[in-house]
Order: sequence, then C-alpha cells, then structure tokens
Amino acid sequence: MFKRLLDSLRGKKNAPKVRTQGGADAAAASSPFTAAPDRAKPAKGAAADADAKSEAQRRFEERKSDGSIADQLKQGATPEEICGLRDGMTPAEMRVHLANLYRRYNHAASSFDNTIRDEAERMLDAIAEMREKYLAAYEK
Amino acid sequence: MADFVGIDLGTSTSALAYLRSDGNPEIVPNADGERLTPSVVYFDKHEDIKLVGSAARDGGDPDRTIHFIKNQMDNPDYTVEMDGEKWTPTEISAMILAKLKRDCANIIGEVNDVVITVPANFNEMARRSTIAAGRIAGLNVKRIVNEPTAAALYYAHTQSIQGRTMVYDLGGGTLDITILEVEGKNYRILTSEGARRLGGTNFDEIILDLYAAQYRKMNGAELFQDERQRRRILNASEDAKKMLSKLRQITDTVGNDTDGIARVELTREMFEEAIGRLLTRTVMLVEQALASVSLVPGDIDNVVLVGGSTRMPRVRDLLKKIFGSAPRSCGNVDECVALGAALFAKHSASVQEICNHGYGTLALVENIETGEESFKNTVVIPKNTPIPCAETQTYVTSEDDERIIEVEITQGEDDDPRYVDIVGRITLEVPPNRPAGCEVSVTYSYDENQRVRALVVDERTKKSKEVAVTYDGAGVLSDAQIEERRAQFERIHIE
Repeated sequence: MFKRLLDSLRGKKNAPKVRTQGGADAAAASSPFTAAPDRAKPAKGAAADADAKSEAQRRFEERKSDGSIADQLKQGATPEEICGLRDGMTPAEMRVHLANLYRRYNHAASSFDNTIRDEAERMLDAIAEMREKYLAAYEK
Repeated sequence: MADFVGIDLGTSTSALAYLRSDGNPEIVPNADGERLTPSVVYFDKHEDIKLVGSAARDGGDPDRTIHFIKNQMDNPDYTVEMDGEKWTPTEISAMILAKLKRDCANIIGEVNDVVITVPANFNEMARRSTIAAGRIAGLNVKRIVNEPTAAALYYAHTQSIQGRTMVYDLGGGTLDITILEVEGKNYRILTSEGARRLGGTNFDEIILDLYAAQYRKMNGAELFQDERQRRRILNASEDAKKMLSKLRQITDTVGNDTDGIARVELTREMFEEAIGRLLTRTVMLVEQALASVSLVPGDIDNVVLVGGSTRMPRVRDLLKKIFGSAPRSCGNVDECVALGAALFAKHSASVQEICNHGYGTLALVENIETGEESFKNTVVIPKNTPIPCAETQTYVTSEDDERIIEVEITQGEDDDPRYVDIVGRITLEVPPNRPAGCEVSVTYSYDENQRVRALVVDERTKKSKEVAVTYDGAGVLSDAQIEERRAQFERIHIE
C-alpha cells in the first residue's frame, strides 16, 4: 500500500495537495504533532519538487527499518536521547514535549504495523521513565 | 425473549445483561452459574467440543487454550491453528459470544438483538471484527458502544450522576478514559482516549516476575519451565493482586515438581513500586484526555471507576490526588459495562457519541509563504466530532496532466504519515491534459456504528467514486465467509 503510493508520486500521478499559511515553514517546523490545517486551500499548480518526493519516500521506508526509534533503542541510546530531551529544557517544555510524544506513541501502539507497535511500546516505557525522572509523576 | 440485551466482550471476562421489565438491568449467569464468563476458549483434543469460560481457563493443555483473544481483534494477520484448522480472532470471540447466547437463553429466552461493547480505543478493524463475531454467533448486533459510555449510563442510572464526568475504566487488558456531560437523561460524549496493554493482566505479569525473582533467589532455579507452569503461577499472581487490594502483605507458596516449593512474600508497597511505570502511563492518559477537550481536573464534577483493576488502592489514591476528591465506585465495577450496555440498548437515542479517531488523507502540504512542501497526513474528520457526521476537505492536483487521483484513507491525527494507519484507498481516473490545481473534494462520513465511508469527487468533471472502508488479511473474514461460518457455528458444540 505504501509502496504504491510512492510509485504514484514518482510516476507523476498525484497526492492531493493542500496549502497552509504560517510563519517560516509552519508545516515543516511546527511541532510534528500539530494537526493539519482545518481548511484546505487550492494551490496554483506548483509541482511537487524532488525533495518532497524523497522525503515522502524516506518517511515510509523508515517505518520498516533504518532510523526508527526502535533502532536507536537497539544501539543503546539513552531514554533522554530517544525522547529528544535537551539540556536547558524547562519543566514546562519538557511536560508538553513528553505529552506530545505520549499522544503520538499511544496511538501508534494500536498501529496495524507490528514494527510500529513494538516501537511504540518501548517508547511509551521510555516516556513514562522520563516523566518520573524529571517531573514528579503524579503532580498536578 | 429479552428485548434489550448488552454484552461486555472483555479481554479477561465477558458478561451478558438484559433489561428487566422494571427498566433495571440485570446480569444473566451462564450455565456454570457464573455472572462473569472468563474469555477463554479451550479446543479439546479428544472430543469435538470447544470449552468456554472457567472450565477452559482452569484445566486444559495451555497449547490448546486461547486467552486474551480480544487483544488480536485488530490484527489482520493473526490466526490460531488447531489440529490443522485456522481460526481467526473473530471466530474465537464468536465462540465466547455463542456460549453467552446459548447459556443465557435458558434463563431469559432467545437472545437475538444485542449491543456489544468495545474499548474506546478500538480501531475500525477491531470494531468490525466484533460485529462479525456477533453475526457468526447468531446475534444481530444492533449497535457497538464504547465500554466507558455504557458504564456511564449505568452510573447515571444507579447513582444519579450529573454534570461533567470522567469514566476511568481500567479493565483486564486496556485503560479507557471517557469524558462526558450528563444532563438529565441525556449524555454527550466529549472525548474518549484509550491505551492498549495497560490493564489487569499487565499487573499480573509483574507479580509473576516478582515471584519468579524471589523463587530464583531462594531455590536457585527457575519458577516455571513451560507454559502450563507459567499459567498456573499467573493465576496465583492474579489472586495475589486481588488480595493486595485488601491486605498490606501476603505470603504465597509457589513451586514446581522439579525444584520444589518456596514461600514468597509480597507487600503492597513492593507491588505498587513495581507497577509505578504503568501507573505513570495511566496518569498521562488522563492528562491527554483532559487536554484533548481543553479541560483541567477542576472542570470535572465526577470521576467514576470501572474495571476490576480500579480496586487497587494506589489507583484510587492517584485519582484523588489529581482531582482533589475520591473517585466514585458503584461496587460492581466488573459488571457495570454489561449492565450499561443493556441500558444503552434501550436508550441509545439519548447518547450523543463521537468519532473515536481522526480520519484523513495523505497529501503534499504547501506553505504559502515559503513555498516549501512536505508530505503529511491531513485530517478530514477530526477526532471527537459528534456522530453521525460527514466532513469535506478540498484538495488540488499537484502536477499537470495527472490521470489518476489516489486518495489514501488514514486513521489517526498525527501529521507524520509514519504514525497513522492507512485503512482504505480510492483511485479515480480523470481526463488527460489538465493543469495542476484541479480541485478534488474528499468527503468522509462516519455512522453510529463507527463505519467509515469515503467519497472522492473531481470537481471539474464531477466524476466520483465512493467506498466503504474494508480490511484485508488472513485474519479478516469476508461477508460470505461470515455467513458460511455462522451456519457452521450452529453445529459446533460449545460448552
């Protein structure tokens, strides 16, 4: 299914396209967990560039193998690294970041893709560990 | 014949309830005299009999015993092979439902129309599999309802709860959180969030590990070497968990034939520390549910408990800490989902449900200011939209001379395509030599039984195509197969 989608992109068939407004690359630089814009707007014929296609391809291939969180776990990355916690993050930033990660991986734990499910379970464990370590787990 | 019947098809136990003539729901015991039927199926080797319930759980060969099949209801490739025959999770679940139908018919008369409950986080495939299981078992599944929604009806019926209510449902296999408004006899669901692999069985496994560690230390050997032994200890672990909800310390005797027995000690404190990580996940789900509808704990008027694991004191303490007051418990937290389902069977019109997941499609998203494009999941129906509903989103073709418009139907709200599931696909052929930018509208609809349909319209030619979301896989049965199995099931001996 994924492969056919990518073929369709390469083969100059289309993925439906929407436009969004925002500051410097709102689509790409916003939180990766932000929902898509509420309202789709017609675009004016700009063709999908090669980078966009390779990005799409890369993301789908990542589902299966290289670059996944599961691989980082195998390579002995710390929970902080896996969760993307950075030095200097305030507790409030950390809380929001972990909550966003939790939302993503809690949904992914029900994925049809077993690789994603396994990754999600391990991530959820790491997220809870970080929550306990850096923020009181049960504070209001 | 009972008119309003509800079934809780649970991960570890199931139950059937009906609405009495006085309007109150009642659990119907099975033929073994039990109000809760373990959701366990045993395939006998010698006789062509499928055992369901306690007899299946307590006695047989573990290789021929199926536990927790509900966890596989959304796994399209999962099958159980027994004596050369493959059984899907749908069929195994149908055996449990058939046992309930047949046993309860002896008490309340024929059971046909039913409401079956599912976890709030069950995806489309799992919901369809549940409906199919009912059909195979000879039931007419009038509605599927989320477990916390059913439980909320029961609480409102018996405890007169009103206002903004959070249902905290920690069952055998999943945690579900639902927030709803109760106004008089009307219920408006605001959000439902769920977590898999977060329930009583996970806590049992942790006690099993604690037992195994103590045994290893005392006897210098492994507590169990095979699945039969492991199952036996796991049952003891479940008992220990229940005792630790009432006692601060327990002593248990565990062992095996080879390496002898050992007396193991377990305190509530040790247990609570061991399950701390899982409890943190439950807290994060509560926070997620509140955040998804922009509420804070102080906005919640009632917190009500559902599921056997809510008997654990630590769970109640946590909720008290978060919400500032003790959660309410109806006492029979194991039965309130089935009882509420029977109420729902009659009063479904007074419940405003929501879309449990977001649905969208994959698209190139262009930033107007920078011109940059990225490949994202874009939402057409947002999660928590009241149902039934239909929403339309307009897209445009991205290149000149596009002949095929392909729309992938996604389930999930994450904008990263890696973290959503593709649940369907529509391909629409359009005329040649058109410029990029031709508008395509994508309409999704979602009905009361959580079935999704998608309509794609090419606005220039008005050419369109509509599909209902369906699933493929070794573990997925077609309509024809379901009817065939239904006929076969009438001949299967289920005890």
